[in-house]
This record gives sequence, structure tokens and C-alpha cells, in this order.
Amino acid sequence: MATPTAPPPIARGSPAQADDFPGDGHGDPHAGSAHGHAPGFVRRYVFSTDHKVIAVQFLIAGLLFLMLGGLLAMAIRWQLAWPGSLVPLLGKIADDRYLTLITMHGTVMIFFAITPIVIGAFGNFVIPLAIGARDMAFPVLNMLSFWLLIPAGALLLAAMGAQGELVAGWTAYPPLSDVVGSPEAGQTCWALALIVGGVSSMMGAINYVTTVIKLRAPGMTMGRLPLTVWGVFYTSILNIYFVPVVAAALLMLVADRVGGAHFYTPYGAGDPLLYQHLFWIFGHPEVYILILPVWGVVSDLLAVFARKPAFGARYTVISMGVICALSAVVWGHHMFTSGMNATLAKTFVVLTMLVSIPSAVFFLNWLGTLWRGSLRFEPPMLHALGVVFVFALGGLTGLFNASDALDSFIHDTYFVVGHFHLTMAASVLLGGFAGILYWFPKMFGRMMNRTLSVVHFWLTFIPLNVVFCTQLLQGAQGHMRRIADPVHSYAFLKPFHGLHIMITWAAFVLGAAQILFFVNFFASIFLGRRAPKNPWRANTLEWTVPSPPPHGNFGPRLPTVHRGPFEYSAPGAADDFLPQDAPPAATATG
Amino acid sequence: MPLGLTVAGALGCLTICPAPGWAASGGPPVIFPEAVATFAPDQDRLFVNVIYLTGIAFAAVTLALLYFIVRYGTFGNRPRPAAYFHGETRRAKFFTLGLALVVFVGIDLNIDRWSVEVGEVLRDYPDPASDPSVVHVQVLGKQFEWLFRYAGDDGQFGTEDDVRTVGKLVIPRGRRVLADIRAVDVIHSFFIPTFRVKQDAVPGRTTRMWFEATRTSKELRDEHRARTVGVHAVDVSALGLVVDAECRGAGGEPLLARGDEIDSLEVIDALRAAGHEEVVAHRDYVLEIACAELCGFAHFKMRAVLQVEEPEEFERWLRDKSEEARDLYDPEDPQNFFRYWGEEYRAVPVYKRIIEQTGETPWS
Repeated sequence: MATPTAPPPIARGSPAQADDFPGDGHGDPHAGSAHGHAPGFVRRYVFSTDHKVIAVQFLIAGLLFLMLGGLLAMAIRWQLAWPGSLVPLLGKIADDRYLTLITMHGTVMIFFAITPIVIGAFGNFVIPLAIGARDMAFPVLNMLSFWLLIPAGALLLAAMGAQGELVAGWTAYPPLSDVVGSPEAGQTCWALALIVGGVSSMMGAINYVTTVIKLRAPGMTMGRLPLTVWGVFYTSILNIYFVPVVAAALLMLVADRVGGAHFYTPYGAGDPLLYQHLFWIFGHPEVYILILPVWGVVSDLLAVFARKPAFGARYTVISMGVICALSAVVWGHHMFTSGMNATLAKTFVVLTMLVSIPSAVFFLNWLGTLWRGSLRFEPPMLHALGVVFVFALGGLTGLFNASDALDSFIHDTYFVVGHFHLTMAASVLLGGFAGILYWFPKMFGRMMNRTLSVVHFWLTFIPLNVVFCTQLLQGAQGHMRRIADPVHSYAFLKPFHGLHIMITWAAFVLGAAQILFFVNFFASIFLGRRAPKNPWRANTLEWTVPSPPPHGNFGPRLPTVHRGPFEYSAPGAADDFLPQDAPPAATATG
Repeated sequence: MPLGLTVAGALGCLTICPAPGWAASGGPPVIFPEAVATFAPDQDRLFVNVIYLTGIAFAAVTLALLYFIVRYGTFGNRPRPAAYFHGETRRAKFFTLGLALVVFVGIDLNIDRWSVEVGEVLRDYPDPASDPSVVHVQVLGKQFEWLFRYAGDDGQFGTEDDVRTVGKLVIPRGRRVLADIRAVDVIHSFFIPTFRVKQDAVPGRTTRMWFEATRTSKELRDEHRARTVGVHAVDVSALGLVVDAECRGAGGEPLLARGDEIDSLEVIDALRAAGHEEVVAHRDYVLEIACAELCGFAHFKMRAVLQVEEPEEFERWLRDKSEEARDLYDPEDPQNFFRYWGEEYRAVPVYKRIIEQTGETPWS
């Protein structure tokens, strides 16, 4: 991007931002398409600084990693149901190879599938369009954020192929992840992959926060932001605070591994628990980092498809903020069994329990939005409703884990696995699908096939619940997680082995159902029905521009925002929706 | 309406929750493992209570969700117009705050209170110095074994009459046991599912755990045998059964002798292939100690057996073992891992190399 002669005035609501768009010699990056000197293919689709292209790049990268993480999950399930048998493509899975599979499954899903989809893709695509900006505040940084994800992913794949198995799980507790437990190169690659991925997340986060604060269109107050934008905004704040913590923790791990530093071994003043503290100071906010955008998407979509204002949107925003604050002070509940001081443990119990209060407000508001609405069961809505159900299950099972006493039974069992999959996997996956289905017409200018989407929803929703609720049951039976072979180890696990086989079949259905989604997604990009400008009859600004939006998003002038995003079925309005930028005269009553 | 929903939710929860049945049958045998420690029933009660509370909340959310979907959904019919309100009125604010209060008082404070009650019990460590009835045992986790050490006749650890076992913890019924838990190489977690407790074993520090068993291994084994002996279908649920009659293959070759365990899915397949739809068998019962924290490639088989004996039996066993240990004591025996006890890190290759190179032993 050429340097403007003067810094562009980008203050909120600044009309100057709109005025300098048509490209009057300022070298505006968006002027290209308007003036005919189109950038080459590489600049336009590969190293593009356009937030919409970057969003699609994040989305496709995320979906490919989702496919990898899903295939790993299938291999894990096969091994658990029929341990020692030949797994397709992988053959017989050795005990340490199994641990590599679970480590990779967790790492890929969290950092390379969910993060790029709900933060990278949704954040990038939705924020500028929904707040009425032409692009991100820092387009080049945005591009770098995506292109750092690629070396990070490559390092991660290298970790799987490098010498030594990744035996330490996605949490990588030392000394197991340290020179003591895994001296080979793979674990170092793994840590470096996460550090590079973390830098990518930081770049995105700084960009999102700056964009939301500085680039809102005239009239777009913070109170008029859609809740999806709020979700990504809060997520980015958490990323800015806590990614550095895990990056530091992992750098210390690398220092231990390659420099003989002994931060995390009991040698000298080192302490294995130091890592756990640092990891979970990041790790607990991380679950909110992943779910906040989904909460936002669900809150918005329920309103759109109930044709009703989001109930208590202001309280949803406040609750999100409260959860962000609480997320910083509850990490100890991951460490109740580590020998924690009793007073500290009791404190963490209470703080963790408090999370249930803002969570309850979410449910009240979601149900309140549906109450007396006019619900349209379009595919995005089905997924959003699915999130309400699975997140109820996932959130409430968190209360079991919040008790330090119960934790001494269920910690490190399948109960925990079921709980965090219901929140992080089921909720985020369904919320991710909801968002993809919702914004797909805007991204690609085409509609996804409705029938396939509905079939895909039910074939996802039902097996998800079978898989993860059964894992809760296994956990209540004391079944430890990360057990490579439940048949040939503990006697007390044997009578319940049928549950493993059942879960595996449900997981296979779940996995196979995703083929429908991928076919639908990629085929619809080229073959889908042409999408109108506003297929869902939604109010937010992205639906006021063509599908797909042109380079620079809005026409010569930025829209002026006159109201909040939730004016559905407003009395006196001509239609059952009222776009945020429609001038007040559009309403019959003014 | 919210009141009606809450009541409906509570009732719905009561009908689907099997907890009253568990209480009547003297414990929930299928949902939880056997409860063998004094505090295990407390843990189960806590678990069930939390199921009740969260079940009410879950039922309220789900029923409201279902009701709204059915009531306000447009199923192909002409859509009804939606109402218009933002839910940000004074009334909505009070309702939101009220809900927050109900969640805080009704759910959070209750769970916290019960949790603290049980937590106090779990952390009520006995003191072996002042109470001679307390059995003091040292637990050491290493890849991939649990090692145990008792003080022996002289009541002192680190002497030649210490009783040491590998993969087997013997404790008396009805006496409190205090375990000091340590780890050699990586983090392990000492987990006894039937006691409902676990405690991490962290290299470089000593953690503690106490428990008191309420039933002996023999009682449990007899009980399970009596409960399960009979004809069982040969399917995946037969895993772990011990057959009471010889099973032969289709060609007459022996598949399982009497007393053999159906110990893999392949055996089940072989039995079914040979036409055995049913077997006469019973379930053997062993109390097990597990490692709950991922500790490496063989984590899944870092198993130990827990043997609960009558107190007299335990005393006799301890005395015999202690004498035996004194007789066989050989501090230099290279096969004996216990020579490292107290400075276990010497067994870890990384540390061993550092010690050889620098001559330093920076552990206390």
C-alpha cells in the first residue's frame, strides 16, 4: 500500500473516511477496483489485504484443519472401540502413536480449526462490513496474521512427522513435555508451532480491537454494534491479554528443551506446576476466546430468525464482559488435584461458580428472544438453536467440575472430556456452522443447498449429543481419559466397553455427516443459486451491500447508521425489518 | 410463565433422574463404581445433588426452548408476526437480576456449601505421629509403576525393615491410611475410583491423601461373584467375565478353560464364531489404583491393585513382610529401584547425566 501523503483521518464516524474513498490520488488501496487497474491474481487472491479475501482464506484453512482434526478423532475412536485392530490408513496404532493422535487432535482443533474459523474468518468478514468500514485498520498486518498461520500449521505437521511422538497431550504438562519425558525434536516443533500461531492470533486481535474502536461508520455507536462484533471484540481483548502468557510459558518450555534451562523440572528452583499455572492462566480464557464469537453469532441469529429484537442485548454485552473478567481468575480449577492449598482451592471454586451467573443471563436472553417471536427454521437457525441446547448441557456440567471435592473424582476422566467437548466442540462447531451458513451468501454471492444443510444439521446434532453425553456417563464411572487401550488395562473399565463402541459408531455418523457439509460448501461456491443482497432480511450493514460485496465494501459514501441492529417487526415499519442505515423517514411513523 | 416452567422443569427432572432409585437400592451400582471408602458415599451424594440442581436448570431451559419452538415456530404455515420488545425495560432488568440472584443462591451457594463439606472431609488428614491407628504409607509414581513403602516394625521410614511393594497396595479395613505421594520422572496422578479420590504426584514435591476402606477385597469379590454368577450373553458386555465352565471351539479345541477371563474382543469373536451365544461365568472383582494424569506411552497400563484386608490380617502381613525385608535387605542390589527412594531423580536419565557431568545434586 502506498503511503498516503497525510495520515488518513479515521476517527469514528469521520466523514473524511468516506470522502477519500474514490481514490483521488491518495493511493487508497481500495481504489483499485473502482479505477480499473485491477491488481494481479496473486495480490488479489493470495497475498491480498482485503479483509473479505483473508476471511475466506482463514475459513478454508480452518475447514481443512477441521477435516484433519476430525479424521484424527475418527482414528482415536476406532482405536478406543477396537483397540489393537488395524485402523484404516494407519494400521495398528502403537501406544505412543495414540498419544500423538490425541495431542494433534486437540491442538489442531483448538488452534488451527476453531480459531481460524470463528475468529479469523468471522472476525475478518463480519467486523468491517457490520461496522461500516472499508477494511481492517491494519490490512497488511491482517494479511500477515493469515500468512503466519501457514508456517505455524507446517510446524505442527512437522511435529507429527518429526522424531519422537507427541506423548504429552495438547496441554503438554512438563516434565512429560520436557526433556525428561519427550527428549526428541517433535515436542519442540509442537511448542514452536503454537508460539507462531499465537503471534498470528495477536496480530488479528490487535487489528480487530483497533478496527472496532476506530473505524465505525457515522452513527455506529458501540451500543449499536451487532453482538457478533461484540463477541469477537471481547475475544480479541482476551487474546491480547493472555496469548503472551502462553507464549512465554511455551518459550520457557523450549528453553528447557533446547537450552537446558530447567524452568519446569524440579532441578534447582524449577517447578512443574509453574507451567500449569501459566498454561491455564491462558487456557481458561482460551475457552471463552473460542466461545465468545459463537455466543455473539447465536445471539444475533436468534433475533434475525425470530424476527424480533434480541432480548436484553445490553445485558448480553455486559455478561460477556463479566465473563471475560471472571475468565482471568478461575484458572485454578484445572489444578485442584495438583496439591493446591485449601484456601486457594475454595477461592477458585467460588470464582468458578460465579461464571454461572452471566451464563444464566445468556440463556434468559436467548429464550427471551425466541419468546413471542416468529421463528423461521432456516439452516443457520437450526444450528443456533442447537447451540442453546448443547451449551446448556456443556455449561451445566461445568458446575460439577467447579467443585474441588467432586473434581478429585472426575478430574482427568471422560466427564471432563464430555464437558469440554460439549462447550468447545459441540457448541463452537454448531455455532461455526450457523455462522458459515448465515454469511456464506454474502461471502460467495451464492446460497448453500438448503436440504443438504438441514440433513447435515440433524446428522451432526444427534450424534454430537450421543458421543459427548455418553462420555459424561463414562466419566461418572471413573473412566480416565487418554487411555490408549481400555480393554487390556483396567478391569473396572471392561464391563462398560460397549459404551465405547456405541460412541465410536455415533462418531462415525458424525464424521460422515461432515462430508455433506464439505460437498455442500465447496459445490455451492460454484454451483449455488445466486444470492440476493439480503437473503435473510437482516438489518446489519453487511446486508445492505451486494453479495459478494465489492472491494472497499461500500459505495462512494459510507453508510450512516440510524439505529441498533435489532429493529425487527418494529411497529409502524413498512417491513418486518429495518436496516441500520435506513434513514428515519423510511419508517412510517418516523 | 417462568414460574410454571420452573415447576414443570423440576417435575420433569424428578421423573427422569434415577437418583431416588439409587438411594433405595443402597447405592448406584451402574452409574458410579463401587463406593468403598468412608467418604465415597458423600462424594456420590454431592454428585447426585449437583445432578438434581443442574437437572432442574437444564429441564427449565430445554422445556422453554421446546415450547417456544413449537409455539412460535413457523412450520410451513403463514408466519405470524412477531412481538416487538427489547427486553431492556425496568421489569426485564429486575427479572435478569432476579435470575442472577436465584442462580447464585440456589445453585452456586448450594454446590459450594456441599462441596466445602465434602472437601473438609477429604482434607481432614490424620496425623500418624499422634494416632497410632493410622497407617502411614509412602507412594512413589514412576513411568509406569506405582511403588509403595511402609515403615515396617520399627515405625521409621528409610530403614532396612521397610516393607516395599510394586503395583500392590495393601491396607486394612476400618483404619485411616495416610499416603504421602511423590513422583520420580513426570507427573502422575494417584487415583482410586472406588474411593472417589485422586491426588497428583508431582516431581519435586510431596502431596498427601487419606482414605479409609469400608469393605475388604474378599467381601467385594464374593459379593460380585454371587451377584453375577450365571449365564451371560456373549457380547461386548461379557468382557472381563471369568468363565465357570470350559468353552470349546467348533472343532473341539479348547478356547477357554474354567477360570479363564474373557479378556479381549477377539476372544468374544472366537466364542461367537464357535457358536457360543452364552457362557456360564461370573465377574471377578479387583479394587484398582489408576494413574489419571497422562504420563507417557504406557500411561494406560500404569495400574496397581488395591488389597483391603481385615485389620488383623493386615498386621500379620506387614509383620511378615517386614521380617522378610530385614532378612533380604541389600542396599546395593542394582535391580532394586527402592535404593533410590528419597533421591529418586537419580534414576531419571536426564538428571543422571547432569549429576555425572557436574557432580551437583541440587535437590534437597
